[in-house]
Amino acid sequence: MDAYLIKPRSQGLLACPPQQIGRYILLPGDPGRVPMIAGLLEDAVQVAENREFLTYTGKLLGEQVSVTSTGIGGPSTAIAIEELVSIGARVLIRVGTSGLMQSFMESTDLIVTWGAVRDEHTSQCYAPLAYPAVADLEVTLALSAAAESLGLRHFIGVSQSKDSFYAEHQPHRMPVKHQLQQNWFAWQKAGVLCSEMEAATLFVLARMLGVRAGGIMVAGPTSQSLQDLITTAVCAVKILILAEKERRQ
Amino acid sequence: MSIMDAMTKTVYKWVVLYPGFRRFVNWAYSDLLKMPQYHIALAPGQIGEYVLLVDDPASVPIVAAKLDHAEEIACHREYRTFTGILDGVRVSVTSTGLGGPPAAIAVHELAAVGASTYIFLGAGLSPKSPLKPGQFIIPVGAVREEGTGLQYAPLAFPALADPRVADALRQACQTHYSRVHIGLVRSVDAYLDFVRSESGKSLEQTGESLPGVLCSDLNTAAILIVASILKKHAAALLLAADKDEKPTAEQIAIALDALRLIMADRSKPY
Repeated sequence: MDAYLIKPRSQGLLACPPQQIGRYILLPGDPGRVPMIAGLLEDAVQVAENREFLTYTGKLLGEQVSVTSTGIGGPSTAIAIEELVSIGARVLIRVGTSGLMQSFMESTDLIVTWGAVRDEHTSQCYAPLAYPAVADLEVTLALSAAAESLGLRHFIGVSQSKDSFYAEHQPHRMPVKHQLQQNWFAWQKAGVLCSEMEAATLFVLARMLGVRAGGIMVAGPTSQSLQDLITTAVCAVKILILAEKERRQ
Repeated sequence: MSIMDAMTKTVYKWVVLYPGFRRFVNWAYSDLLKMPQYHIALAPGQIGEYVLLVDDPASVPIVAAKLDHAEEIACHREYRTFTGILDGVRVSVTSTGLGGPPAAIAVHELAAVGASTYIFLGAGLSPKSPLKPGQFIIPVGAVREEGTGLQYAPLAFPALADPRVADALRQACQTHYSRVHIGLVRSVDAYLDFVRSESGKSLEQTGESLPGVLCSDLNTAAILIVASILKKHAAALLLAADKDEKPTAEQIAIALDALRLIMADRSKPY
């Protein structure tokens, strides 16, 4: 019992040693996608694994960059963000999949999430609902510039962050189905582009902790669109690293 | 009762009772007959695609003076509009009045007569350290401590600035060597709420103490929400100030430079 308590707690639930994390972090939800993204970094190695949190660290343009899986939903994402920031993370980019909400979009389009509907409760433990879940301007524009330079069709917009996957996919089973369907219609009408489960938590927490955040999503998880997604995210990190080097000079 | 009166009475009843008929009347009134909008008193074709918003009707001529061939188009209630030319493109300046309700009407009706990009020039009151009066704030979003936006979207929906317009403002600030802070503004409904000495509230009792919030104002959240619901592009450039102030020459110059950048950038997709 003691051993169990000491080992993960000494380094948090991420079990991640402080020196081995970069200032730039890519955050997929699925641990299975971590090695895929880390494959685009130089000298990537696994530095930690505990529960749904798998972390690889590598390098881009001489700067340490890490990839950590957040697990599904706000609560585990909040844990990952809190612990990553406490050991030195400063720019967090969510790289994930989502469900399409607008008919003018294709499932292979990339969505750069500039803001999120706070249809989840984790961020409400940090800030009242009136507080906007909004990404960092520079990170968002870097993601958009990366997609543009790779010639990929993309949209900048708002995603809906929900707590229940099956409330979206099987609303008819829920006692509150009318409310769910009404809300879904409202978000669609308001121009929300996609539905996912982590962005609002990430954006609100990042502002609370004073770090920068952004997000990029794709709807159809085909191997090609996933490849486009992670290439764009890695390219955006390079843009941000270069911009920061320029500022330092 | 004359036949005209009877018809008016019937049409009025239909408008009130049947939403579909109301939509038809709105369409016929503004799109078909090109009649002026109810509050801003502007008809389609009288304004440019780019609109600068100020809160005080008295500030409108000050901003319009920086445009070429600016003339007053309409003045009704708190809405005063000048249209002029900037680099060969028509640009309008409209006052919104103070607070969410009149600002939402202004943005909504301007959209109906052809506006697509808005820049709000306001004052960011009770600025938080390290902001100093005279510096600028570009809000990327607004804390929705106001009621008007609720009638457009539920509270969970974020009040967001358009990223490209906000970035154009940031670039324009850089070329003017102006000190600018990018963050959040807290939009409230009661002016006295952020004049804390008079309302008796401590900083911790209000949303002002939330991380990332740089200042407070009355209009920004409503303008951003209404613009994004109507699929238009809006951002704000706020001047950190201790009391309500008119837009400064520097603020106006930055906004016009930002509009020039947006016009040059129009080829890019949104």
